[in-house]
Amino acid sequence: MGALPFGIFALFVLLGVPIAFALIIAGALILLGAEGMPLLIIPQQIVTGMDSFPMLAVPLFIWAGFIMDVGGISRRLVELAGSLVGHLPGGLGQVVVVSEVFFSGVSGSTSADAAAIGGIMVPQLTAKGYSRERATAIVSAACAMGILIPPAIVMVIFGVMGNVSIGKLFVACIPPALLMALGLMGQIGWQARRHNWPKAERASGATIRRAATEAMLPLFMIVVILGGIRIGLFTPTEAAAVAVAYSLILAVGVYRALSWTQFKDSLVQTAVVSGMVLLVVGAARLLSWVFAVTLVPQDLAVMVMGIGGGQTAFLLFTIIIFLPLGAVLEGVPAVVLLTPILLPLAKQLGIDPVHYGTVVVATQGISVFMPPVGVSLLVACSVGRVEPAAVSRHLWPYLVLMLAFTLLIAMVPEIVLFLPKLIGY
Amino acid sequence: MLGALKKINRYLVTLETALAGGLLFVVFLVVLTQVLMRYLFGWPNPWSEELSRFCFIWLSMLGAALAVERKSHFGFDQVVRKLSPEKYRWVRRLAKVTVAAVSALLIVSGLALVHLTGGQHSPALDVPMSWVYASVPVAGFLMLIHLSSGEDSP
Repeated sequence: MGALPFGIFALFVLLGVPIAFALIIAGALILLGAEGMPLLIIPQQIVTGMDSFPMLAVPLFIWAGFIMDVGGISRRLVELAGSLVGHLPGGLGQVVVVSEVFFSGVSGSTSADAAAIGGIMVPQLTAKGYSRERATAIVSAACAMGILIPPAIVMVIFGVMGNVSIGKLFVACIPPALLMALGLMGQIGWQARRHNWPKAERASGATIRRAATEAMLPLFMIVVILGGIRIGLFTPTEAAAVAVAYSLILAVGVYRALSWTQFKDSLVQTAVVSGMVLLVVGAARLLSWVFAVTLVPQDLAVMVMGIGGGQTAFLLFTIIIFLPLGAVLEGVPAVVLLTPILLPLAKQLGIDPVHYGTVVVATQGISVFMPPVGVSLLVACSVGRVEPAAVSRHLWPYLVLMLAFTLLIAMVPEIVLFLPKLIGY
Repeated sequence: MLGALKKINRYLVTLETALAGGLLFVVFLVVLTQVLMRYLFGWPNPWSEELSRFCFIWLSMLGAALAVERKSHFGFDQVVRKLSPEKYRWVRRLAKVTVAAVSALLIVSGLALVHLTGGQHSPALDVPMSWVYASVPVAGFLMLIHLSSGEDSP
């Protein structure tokens, strides 16, 4: 019984029907086949799936990211990163990673990151003699890591779907993200030494101070968001609204870089992206309702528990299932579909939900850049104007390294859980 | 006939764009006011959460309809792209008909739900729940218009 809706869904997705619509079809066909199930369950479940105050953080964080991209904020963060690490081996490659750490800390969406960082850095990298393919691979790797930097849309969605504290998840993801960023920087430095990549002059103290002053206001926002949530000033959704207000004040009032047309465009762009995300959320809610009625979760639980192997095996299973699904379905739909099914099983096995969420977020970050079909890889390739096939040769080593770090995070929960504990979550 | 349909579609897109963008701005203002109210006046207003959620539902349904117009819904077309041009056209048509069928289903089932919930009122704002659920058939209708005035792919 459980395989049928999955089969219908997969068939329609392969035929090119958008994911949300394929989900609704699968749900509707099962409803039609069952006795005494009125069709008005369809709109009712879709709206119930969308009707969540924490989920409001999704459009607000996306909007803040769009404003910062066009509002002169991304450029300042890149300049600060350049003055800090440009002189290391593989200079500009290192700048990409550090810029992404900063920018991802203020923006919530990977596509905005890839567009913002890629738009600024790919031309600079190619001007310094990096090939377009190499440049795009470095940007892609940095953005895959950047998904672990809070705030991120996937964390909000995982938190809402799994009823896990979003603020705690934000904080828990920071140490693994920094670890992964350092790993990437080490790898780029090693490659740079071997292949003699160019590096910049060491920036003077005055240059660093000037860049830091310029970037201070954008970076202070990270403190406002994460600190504000932690000490209970506001909920994650309210923090997202504060982030929008903050970036509007910076872009309009301080930097005077946001035109009326750009402002209107950012509103509409955000509305369309929320429509795309939330229709999947609503449709997934319909299908999980149908599943629940047809007892699929119970069957699945029995099956997974039957495999055995405990926590480690289950985390491995999660990574293996998320990598292809995230590449094919996009990260957000994959998390929307799988969280309600897998998280209860993880809890049953005694895995901390926040630890589980971090592993999921890290895995799906890698998955959306998996060649040849990862959606964010395609975005990065269109920004870098290269063919995905040509990038993958350069990208695989980075992805393998990040996958190794994800396995490490999965095996050692303390990496994830020590910081939330330290600051009293 | 198709010319008139395209013209209607353009008007509807303009209207949807303005409404969806405006609703996002309202959501932002309401959530921000909720924070300010709490700290400046120590007075949490009871209706702001509900108002922002209802605007968010409408915004998402209108955004979903706009995403049909812009063909930007999450999807996976790497397999069908490998088909011959002739077969590809047929599969795209089939996909489009499927999306149209779902839109029609949203209209029919959505109207039934609207009809049923006219008497239920929301706890804080005391508005009929049918106003919220109306977003589903409206979005279904807009999706159908967008589909029938566009080219052969969803």
